[in-house]
Amino acid sequence: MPKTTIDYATLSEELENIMLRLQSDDVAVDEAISLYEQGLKLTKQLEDYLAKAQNTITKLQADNK
Amino acid sequence: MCTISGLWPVTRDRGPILSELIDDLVLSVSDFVALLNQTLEFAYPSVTITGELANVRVSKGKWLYFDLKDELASVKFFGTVYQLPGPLEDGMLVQVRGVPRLHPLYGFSVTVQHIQPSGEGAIRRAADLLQAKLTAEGLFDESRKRPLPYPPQRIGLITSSESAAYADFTKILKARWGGLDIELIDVQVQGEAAVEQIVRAVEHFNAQAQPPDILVLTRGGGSAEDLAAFSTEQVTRAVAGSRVPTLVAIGHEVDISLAELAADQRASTPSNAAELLVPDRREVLAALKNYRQQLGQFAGASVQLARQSLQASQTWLDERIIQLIKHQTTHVQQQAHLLEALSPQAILRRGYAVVRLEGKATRGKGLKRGAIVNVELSEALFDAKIEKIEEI
Repeated sequence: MPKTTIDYATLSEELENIMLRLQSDDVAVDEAISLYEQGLKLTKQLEDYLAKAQNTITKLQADNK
Repeated sequence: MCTISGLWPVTRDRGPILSELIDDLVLSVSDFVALLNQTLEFAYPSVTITGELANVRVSKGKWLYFDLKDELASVKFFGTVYQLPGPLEDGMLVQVRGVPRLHPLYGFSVTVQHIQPSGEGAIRRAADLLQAKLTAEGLFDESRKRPLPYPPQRIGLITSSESAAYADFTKILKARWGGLDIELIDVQVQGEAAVEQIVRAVEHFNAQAQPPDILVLTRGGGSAEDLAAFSTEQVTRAVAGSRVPTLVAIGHEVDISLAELAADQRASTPSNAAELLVPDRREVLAALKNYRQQLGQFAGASVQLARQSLQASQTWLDERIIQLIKHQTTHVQQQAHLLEALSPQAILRRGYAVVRLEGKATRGKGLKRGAIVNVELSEALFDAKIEKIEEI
């Protein structure tokens, strides 16, 4: 099965982690800014995914015994 | 076994010739049985009979014997337990399709091809019996339920592609979410073939090298008989045995099929199944928007915190420097006072004098009578001649 779409679950998890990291007390400014940029990029990717991704339906035949 | 193929070139429209032949014919018992079976096979290649079950018994865990009866008659049946949709009991109304035949030793019976409970009461009773049996085995235990991947990427769908269930399910999925790979195995969802086709579809998905993330088995509502396949032992066991997590949605109001009880999760309708399976992209988009704001807030807070910390450092530095300068100033002033106290002028003011010989201050060593020394007082400077010297 060709993977034409990004893996939504992976990206979503990455975003969650960034949000958590950003909320922690020991995050440095440089890191916070970098996390912010990554987070924005991920939300954009996820939005694109939701806007464009189509469902594909393939018909299979069950094995004949 | 004897064959009578040479005697049997007969079709219906040639009946009279047959009866003439039969009249004069003397058959062995085996030949008679074979002849009768050929006749039966020709006349009744398959027959469906409905009646009340009696004398149900299973031999060696495999062979199934029972009678079907009504007020006037009783007929023997023979089959295997694998054909049973679940446990059956005497008195239950069933419908059996089978082939009638005369066994060379044991007499007449109908060989079962398919058996199912008939009528609402019997179907309900059969389902209750099966449910009790499978519950005892632990097939429906809550502890067996696995969480479904949310959202899944690949879905193995088992339904009839002609059905409204299929249309509803895929429509709602499409409206809510994208990027799903749906693999459909088109099966009959009612009738005799349904059970085997559904079981085979579940097995097929499970046997894939990379099985889907989830199996969805669904059909719309219908009568108890329409939905019977989903409460058979075969389908229920297939669902329970699936190593791929399962979602079963059989659209009906009152009863829950056994396949649904065995599934990791059930849904009330095909549409409901789609709703449970994936989030609504509109909600997720709204959440993402919210996330973006939060990202800004969190990152902003971090920068703000750093700024505050920087300001605090600056203030501390400023204060520290002022403090240091003050401290140094005091120190220098003290030094100056000390220096002042130690200065020769101050000593002279207290009444002491500096005596210089030839321009150099002297402590008295080497002074001689008659020498001219210069004496400095606080308020006068004069030369003096040494008259007398006493060594101290």
